[in-house]
Formats: sequence, structure tokens, C-alpha cells
Amino acid sequence: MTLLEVSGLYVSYGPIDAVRGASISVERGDVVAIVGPNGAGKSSILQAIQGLVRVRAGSVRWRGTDITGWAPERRARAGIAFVPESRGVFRTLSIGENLRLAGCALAADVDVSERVRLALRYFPALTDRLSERAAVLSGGERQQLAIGRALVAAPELLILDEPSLGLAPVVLDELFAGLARLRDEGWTILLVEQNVARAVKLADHLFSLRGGVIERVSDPGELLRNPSFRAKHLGLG
Amino acid sequence: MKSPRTSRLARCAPAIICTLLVLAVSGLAEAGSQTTQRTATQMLIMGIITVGTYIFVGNSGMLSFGHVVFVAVGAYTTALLTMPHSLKQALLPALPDWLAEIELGLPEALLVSGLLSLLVGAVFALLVLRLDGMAAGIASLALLISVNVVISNWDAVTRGSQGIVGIPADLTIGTTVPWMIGAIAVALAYQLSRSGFRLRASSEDPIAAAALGVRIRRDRSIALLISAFVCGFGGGLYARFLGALTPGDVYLQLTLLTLLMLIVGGIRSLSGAVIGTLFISVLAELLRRVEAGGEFGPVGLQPHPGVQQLILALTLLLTLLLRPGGITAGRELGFAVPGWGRSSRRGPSEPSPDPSGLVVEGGNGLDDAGQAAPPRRDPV
Amino acid sequence: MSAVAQNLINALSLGSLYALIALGVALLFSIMGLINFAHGELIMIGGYALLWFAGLPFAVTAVLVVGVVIGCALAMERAAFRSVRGATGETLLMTSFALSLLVQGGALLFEGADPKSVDVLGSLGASVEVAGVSVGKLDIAIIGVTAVLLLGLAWFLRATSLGVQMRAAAEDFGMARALGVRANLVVAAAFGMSGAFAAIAAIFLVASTGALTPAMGLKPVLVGFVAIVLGGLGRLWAAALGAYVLALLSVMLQAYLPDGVAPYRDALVYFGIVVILMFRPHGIAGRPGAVRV
Repeated sequence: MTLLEVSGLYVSYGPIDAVRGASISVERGDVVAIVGPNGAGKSSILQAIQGLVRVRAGSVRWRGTDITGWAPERRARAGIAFVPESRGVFRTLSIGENLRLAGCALAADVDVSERVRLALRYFPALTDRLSERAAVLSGGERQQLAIGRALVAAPELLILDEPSLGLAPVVLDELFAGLARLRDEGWTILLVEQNVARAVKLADHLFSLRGGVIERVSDPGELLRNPSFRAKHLGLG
Repeated sequence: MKSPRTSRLARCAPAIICTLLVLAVSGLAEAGSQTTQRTATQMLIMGIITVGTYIFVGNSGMLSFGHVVFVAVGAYTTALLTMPHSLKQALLPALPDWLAEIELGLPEALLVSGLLSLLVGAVFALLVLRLDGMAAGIASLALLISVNVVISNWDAVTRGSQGIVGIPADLTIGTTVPWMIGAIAVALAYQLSRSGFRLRASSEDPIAAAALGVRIRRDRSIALLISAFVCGFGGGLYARFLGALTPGDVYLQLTLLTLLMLIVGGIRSLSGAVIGTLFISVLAELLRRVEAGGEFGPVGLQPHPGVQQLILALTLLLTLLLRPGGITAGRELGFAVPGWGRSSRRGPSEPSPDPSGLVVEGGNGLDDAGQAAPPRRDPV
Repeated sequence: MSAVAQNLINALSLGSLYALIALGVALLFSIMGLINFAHGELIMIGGYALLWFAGLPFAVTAVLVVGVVIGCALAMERAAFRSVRGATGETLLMTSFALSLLVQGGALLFEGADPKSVDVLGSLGASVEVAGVSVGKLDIAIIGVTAVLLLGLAWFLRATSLGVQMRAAAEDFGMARALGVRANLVVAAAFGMSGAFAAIAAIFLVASTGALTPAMGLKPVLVGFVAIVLGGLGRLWAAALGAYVLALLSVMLQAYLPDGVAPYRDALVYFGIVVILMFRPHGIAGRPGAVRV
């Protein structure tokens, strides 16, 4: 079943088109990665899916329904969870408050504490620190909190913007191991990632975005072997 | 390619058209009753003050609630410098001798008014321009309050809240129009200057402005000084128009009226300042007559105090909600102006093609459905 | 000694009133970047509502006044501010300014320009002796009620889900929405609370002055603005701090300025604030860093 279908998406900032006619689809249970150089408009696509930037043209369909005009909170309630590049952790809130906040996307009869407990299974290190302010967290911990918080809402689609950004290599291994576990458990994930090698290993499908235009990469393995792509994206000779 | 001459003409077009507009309205009023003529004179003076405020607010994109301070300084200066010697002795016995002796002609007095306002403007620049956006607006308001308290209590010079009376009130449409045209010319000259261009560019691209930091503050200061000078002039004329000057004449009411004119006309263009003045002045006068009640042909009206304010406020509110760029939407009158294309077509006040039409000046331009966050601020 | 104590109590009482006003303004600023001129008109409406409901038992009047003002605050949000949500601070400020003039015009039309008087808290006019210092009962009421409200607000923001949502929205509105926080709910809650603060401030203000005019909201709202800028824009508790500092400054100057300079007290207070801002552009408790360009 097609969960998410973006077609002919245009996102503009003033006179500049950041995304020009992008189309992506995500099937339930897929892990889809968008790769591409800096400034290619990858984040804009994700923000458009979550409703955080205005779409100039094109549409976003969620389980067959056009949600292009929906407010972000309505999308969250419909089952889309978003972890932005900045992680979007509320520094003035405690870690526990951050986690429980995602309960806003859940129906009123759902036990939020139970959901938080389930999400914390993935990040046990946070369990004892729920009353601390989120501002004290390190970059890696902040990423854990952001992803954990997204999981509290039990989303049907988890969107991650540059999850590896600014993380130390050790933390990176942990992060991708965690993401692989989520994939194996059947979560649907759409992520933007600059670390193409890692993205290729994780993802079922790969899209490449250049200058606001998107292309489906039919064979990720081929991409990794392609010398010109290696040079451009991976910085490998 | 256009020849240099046509392009110069094109660049001056907004000022020329504004001037013609002002002349047309003034000419019409000249044929009207005494009251109409007086209203038109007041309109011209408001025009000078509004254009003066525009020079800073319109070009820098910073809101100021303090410009009436310059008007106040100009008004009291001209009042004191042009009043008859004998009257000053009677009204203000505590005035220093040298000040009591002076009796200047109007142009000289206005020049002194402008220069004094310019000095006050320098203090303003020092105090306010270091602050950003909203804090600067509130700080300018604090200065306005503070100056008003001084004026209201400085009995020796301003006669406090009793106010100064007996200022020669001899302005007519004919003697005011040249000053108004002068203000328009100064405003145009500034916005075509390098400094004006940089300031406009920076206010339309805040990131570049931040990168240019120091330079922008200098350009803001220049705009503020010129703005203060013109407002000082306007204040001087205002005093000569009123004939009697109290602290309340140069306080919040006037501040609000100036901003009303600027916003309804279009805060980002000189044409907007002029059109706003004309539009609001005419509207306010009509409403004043309705408010006062009386016979309008077959229709008899009861006096309704508050109607004027109600309708003016509604005009402002509807402008902000429906046409956030004001009447001119940030454009200048006239033909396409080379070098202005970007700023006028892509200006932040330009309503975007969003069908919801709820796009707001300089904002993220979001409708109720696809909204983004307001700019980040300090947390609670 | 007792003179100092007297002045401190005056400052505390005035500061409490200022804090009520400043918090009402700061709530909206922290959530949606709005500096609300029309907050003064909410206070004005509260004042006239006291007159409309005069004669009823005081508790009933107070509840009705608070209800009316909250209703007006919500109506303002729905009618005007919702359309410009997300716009620049300047546009929001101007919208609130237009609304303020509009409501004032309405009051002029329906209530007339002449001042009206209303006696709110008859018996609170008296004062009591506390340790040799004479303290007005009204002062005690203002200080006490404000303290309770501040504690209540702190509790609400910490302990309730809506409070946490409001704090999150104040930090990053977009992200809060992406997590499912309803923008309309949070903004309406902020307006409602702001209205409640305005109503209570109105009751105390009118209790101490006794006079009503359509323009009576202007002065308090200016005080509120100055207090929040002085404290540190965008931080709720800083606004309360700013209010108390402002009150202290003005009471102390009133008490200790020499006679010749005393009339210039407000000029000194406001000029002093601009000077403080010169050295601390983000307010007393403000932090640089989250500055909007």
C-alpha cells in the first residue's frame, strides 16, 4: 500500500525555487532515503511533507488523501512524525516533558505514559534522566530524544532530516544500528542523509536530488560503484 | 536601452507624480470654504511629518514611535523663535533673556528647528539603533513619553501643560505647499542615494543586513538624522498652523495618526506616504463632519463622537488584514524604474500568489492550513 | 526606617499591578511574537464591565468581569489576530494598534468621552497598621492576589499538559505543531489567560483610581510594554521582574527626588530604561543569541 505520495512538488523561498517538481512515493514498511549535495532542497521536501513550508505547486497524498493544505498538527495526528535537522528538542522543557509532548498527536484515550515507556526501550539511557532539562543533553543524546519522542506518537511514517549531522563516528554507528533495528521491526522511514554509504546500506529505495530535481536510483549498489558518483557525493576517489 | 535622461526622469517619477497629486488636492481645496482650506493646510503639514517619518521607517523597515519627538522639538523651537518679543515676556517671564529677545522669520526659525531636531535625532540614533526590531520600537516609545513629560513640566520654556499661545498662525495652502514639495524632494533624494539604497536592500534581506552589521547601523543613523530634520521642519510648521501649542498636540495622538497614514498608504514607498496622507486626511475630515452631526442636504445626523476613530481604525485594520502592503503595496507611482525592479517586484510587502490571500507583509506568508512557525524567539 | 518600609510596600503593590499587566502582554509575546496594544483596551473593557455589573455582590461582579474580558480577548484573536498569525512582529503590533483604536472608538461611541466613576472595593480603601507601617488593604489585596496568580501560572505551565504545550510553542511554534500541538488551542489559551490577567488588573486599577475613560488602557499598556522590554523580551518571568524593577524605580524616584526635579520623575524613569537597554539590549534578564535579525 502506498503510504505517502509526493508528486510534482515545488517549494519556493521568495524568488528561489528550492524544489522543482519532486515526486517520491513511500510504501508501508519501506525505508526510503533521499541523498544529494548541500542546498539541493532535500530538507524542503521533508518540511513540505510535514506542512512546515508552503507548497507552491504539486501535492502530498497520505494514504490516498490529499493533505497538501493540512496544518502540521493535523498531519502529526494522521501518523506522520518528523525529526528535523536541528532535532527540534525543546531546551527549556525537561526530557520527560519533551517525550510526553508527542502524546499530543495521539487520541485522547491512549495512555501516553505507556507510549513513552515503549519508546524508551529504544533509548534506555534516557530513562533515568526524565526530569533533567533537555538543554543539558549532548548532540547524540539529543538525537536519541528526538527520535524517541517521534516514536511516542507511534507514527506510521517516521521522517528524519539528516540524522547523522554533527554526530561523532561512534555515535553514528549506534544511530544507524538503531535505525536498522527500527527497519527490521517494520517501521516505515523516510530520511534525508548526506552520508550516502550509510544511507545505501539502510534504505530499500534511494532517491537522488540535485538542483531541486529528484531522480529515483534504481540500483543503490550500482551507485556506490559508480566512480563519478563516488567522487561527487562521497568524496572518494 | 534607456538614455540617461529618461532614466533620471523615471527615477524622479514618483516624486513628480506625488507632487502633482498634492498640487491637485491643494488646488481643489483652494476653491473650497475656509474650513476646507484650513484642513488642506493641515493635510500638507501632516504630509511633511509623514514623509519625514517615512524617510526612516520606510527605508529601514524599523518601526518608530518616537518621531513625534522631532516634531515636538521643531514645534516648540519655531514657536519660541517666531513669537513676538512682548508676548513672550508676558507669557514666559522666566525665559532666558537671549531667547526672549530673538524674533526670527519663518524660514530661519524652521531651519533652526530642523537642526535642533537633527541633534535630538543624533541622541536617538545613539540610544535606539543599537537595539533590534521590537525593542527599538518600544525604546523609541519610552523616549517619546520621556520627552513629553519634560515638555509638560518645563514651565519656564514651554509653559507646561497650559501650552504656548499667540504663535503667529499665518500659514495658507500656498505658503505650505513649497515645504511639502521640499520634503518629498529630500525623501526621494535620500532613497536614491547610495546610503538609501543600501538601507532598503538590507531591510529586504535581513541575513545580508546582519552580515553587513556595522555599516547598516551607519546608514540607519543617516536616515534617522535626515528624517529628524524633516520632521523638525514639519513640527515648526505645525506650531505655526495651530497658533497654540500644548504638550498633547505633539504626543501619542499625532504619532498614531502618522503611522496610520504611513501604513494605509504603504509604508515601504514614498508614494505610499503621500497617498496615505491625502487619503486619511480627506477621510478624517469627512468623518469629523459626520461626527459633529448637522444637516447634510436632506439627511440630518446626530453627533456621534467616536465615529471618526472607529472608521479610521477599521480602515487600518482592514488594510493590514486584506492589503498588508497598504494602498501602494510597496510600489512607487510612475513608470518602471530601472534598478528598482527587484525591490518593488519582490519586496516583502508584495502579496504572494497564494490563493488564500492571507499573506502578510514580510511574514512567512502562511494561511491557516499550511502554516510554519513564527520566527524563533527566546523561550519562556 | 518606616519610611523605607512604606516605600517598599508601595513599590511592591505598584509592581504587582504592573506585573499583572506585563504578564498579560508577555504571554502573547512569548507564544506568538505579538506585542498587543489592544491589551490596554481589554483593561478598559474590564473597567467598564465593573460599571455594568455594579450592584451585584463583589465576587459575582468580579467573575462576570473576568468572563467578559476573556470573551473579548478570544474574539480579538478570532477576528483579527488569527489572520496575521506568523507575520512579522511589526505587522502584529500594527494590527493590535488598529484594534486598540477600534475598540476605543467603540467605547467613545457607546460610553462617551466623559470620565465615569465607579467605587469597586469600598471597604478596601481603609488601611491597617503592620509593625508601625500603615498599609492599605487594597495594597495587600493586590500583592496577595498577584502572588497567587504568579504561582498559579507557574504551576499551570509546569504541571498541565496544556501548559507544557504552551511552553513548547513559545520555544519553537513550528516544531510544537509538527508534534501535534494544536496551534489554535495554544493561541486561544494564551489569549484567554491574557484576558484574565487584564481583567484582574482592571479591577485593581479601577479600585485605586475610581475613574473610567475610553483611553484609560493606554497608560497601563505602555507600562506593560516597557516592563517586558526592560525584563527581557520573550521571557515570561523576566516580564514580571521588569515590572517590579520599573515600579521600584518610579516609587524610589518619587520619594527621593528633590522637589525641583520631582515633576520629571516619569521622564527619568523612561529615559533610564532606554539607558539600561543601551547596556543590556536584551533586557535585564534577557539573553543574547536568540536575537531575531
